Amino acid sequence: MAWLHEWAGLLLGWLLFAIFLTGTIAFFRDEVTHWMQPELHGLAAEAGSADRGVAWLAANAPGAGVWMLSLPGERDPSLGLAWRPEAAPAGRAGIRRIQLDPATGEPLAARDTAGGDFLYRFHFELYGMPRDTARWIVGIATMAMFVAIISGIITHRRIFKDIFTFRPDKAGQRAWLDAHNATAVLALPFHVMITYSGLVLLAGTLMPFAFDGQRGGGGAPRSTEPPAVVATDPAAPAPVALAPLLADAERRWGAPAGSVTVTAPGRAAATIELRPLHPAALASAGRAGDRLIYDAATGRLVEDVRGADGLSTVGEINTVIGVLHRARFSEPALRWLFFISGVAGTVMVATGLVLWVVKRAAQHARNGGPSIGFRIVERLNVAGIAGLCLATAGYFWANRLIPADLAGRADWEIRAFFALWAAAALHALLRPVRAAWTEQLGVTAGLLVMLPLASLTGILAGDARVIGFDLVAIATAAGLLHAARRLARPAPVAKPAARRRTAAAIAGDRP
Amino acid sequence: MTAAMFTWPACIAAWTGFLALALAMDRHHDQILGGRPRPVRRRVFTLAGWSLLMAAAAGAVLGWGWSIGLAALWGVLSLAGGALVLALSHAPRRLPRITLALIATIWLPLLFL
Repeated sequence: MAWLHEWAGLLLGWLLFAIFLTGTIAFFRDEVTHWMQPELHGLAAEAGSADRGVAWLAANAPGAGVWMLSLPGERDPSLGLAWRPEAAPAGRAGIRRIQLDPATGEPLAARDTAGGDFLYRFHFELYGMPRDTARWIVGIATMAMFVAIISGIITHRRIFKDIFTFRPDKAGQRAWLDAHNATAVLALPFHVMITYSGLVLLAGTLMPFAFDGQRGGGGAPRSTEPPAVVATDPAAPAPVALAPLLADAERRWGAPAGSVTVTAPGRAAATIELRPLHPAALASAGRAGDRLIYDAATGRLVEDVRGADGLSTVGEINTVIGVLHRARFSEPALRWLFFISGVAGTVMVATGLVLWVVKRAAQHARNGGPSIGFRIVERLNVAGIAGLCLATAGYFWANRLIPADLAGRADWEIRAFFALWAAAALHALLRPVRAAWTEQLGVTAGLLVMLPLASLTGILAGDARVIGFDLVAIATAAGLLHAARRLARPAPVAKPAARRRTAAAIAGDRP
Repeated sequence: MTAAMFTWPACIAAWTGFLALALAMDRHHDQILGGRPRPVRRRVFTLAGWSLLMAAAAGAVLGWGWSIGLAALWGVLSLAGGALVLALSHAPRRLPRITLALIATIWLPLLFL
């Protein structure tokens, strides 16, 4: 069983590391995006801003078929507007978006960035390849993760005896094994949950036939695209004020509304549709599909759609699992717990990959030099682990270094990410392995620890989201420095007896 | 009272519970208090440990309900266990005092009421 664990973990380990790292950051995807738009720092969410948004749209986008507003909330303080102007092309490209200051209703000139969404998308769709192919690759990696978890539990026989054991001062291999075991065992329920729910979320791609004819149970699928332009009717009454409708929605749901859709604004048949900000409880996760539809002219409630209605048990469980995987709760404390568990998972994958090398290093040293396969793994480890960390830190810096008004700058940020990753891979090939580790991790730590300097205005404005981001960056830098010091240490040559014991411990944890 | 209020007390209960379970094990008892635990003590520690973990579970479920509560509990256990493992390898002798200090902060969430 040990070989299964090692090979299932190794072969897709670098991909799993990337999925875990970017996925963990994606728990704070809105906060990352907020950090990457310094123009919005210090902005305070304001409840009464929805009507300012409608007023702006009425003045600037009168011919649009639909107005969509995402209301300011705890995680994103700006008031987001979207519409499709007259004669705009179909598809995503035709949608216009703007962010308003919720307090004044003035447009905010926030820089164009993919922000946390890039990391979020990357963790299950990768980048620059057909969506289904990428999902297949990630799905296979997720299954390998499952195999690695199950075989790991079976391999690790002293799982409960060793649960609290971590001996960082012991010889290299033992400390890495302890770190791998501790992060794996302590967060085991999380690993099982996140892997399983990830698999469920990908199930539609992996087994499309299983879903044939079963879609659409939970009401109409959420439309993300405003339909084409409609002619306005000058005789139509102006829409009612939103504030009373929002209050009514909060009373009905027990949760605030998160988005407003005005359909056919400026026509007699105009309606206003509200959706809740977060599903308040998993059991009613169908919440994600809850909608309240009002007549725009009179403010009368036309329809109260409960997303859970008409959803089969399977559909409901499916929704719950999806909500769980994405940590779509309103509670920040829960989000932090998931984030910390995600960090444990990232460390688990990384230590497992390093362990594969450390375990074989002594063997190869005895047998006269490393094999070519060993050398490849060793260097892929640097490129896959340290290189990705470097690229991520560089992504944040690219956000500040690329001119704010450059055309297509969101794509340039992503290009910077991949260019840095490629450079790191090249560096890992050219430098001695140990030097490559320390240099890449050292540079990454340096980049991260200086990030607060790039967001000084946000910190001075007392923006909690920015300060939280910077604190996590500093803590990560400290962790990476620690890892760099450890990886720089020459592999100790264990005494024969001790070596047998550790070898046995790794092979099957027999005493 | 928001559900998040339960997080910190649940974390402390999980930490203390894990610590009690560790004290029921020879190696960790020796690290923390010195010497091996006697059988009676060992049983008391085991029982206390599991009870405290149950208390953490109850806190999470009371705070969030079953659905999110169990997911939250996993996070609480990972966090408390991870922190304890680090503390155990770096300052085992100071663990009892650290734990007392932690318990003394159990009311902190009330500040945010």
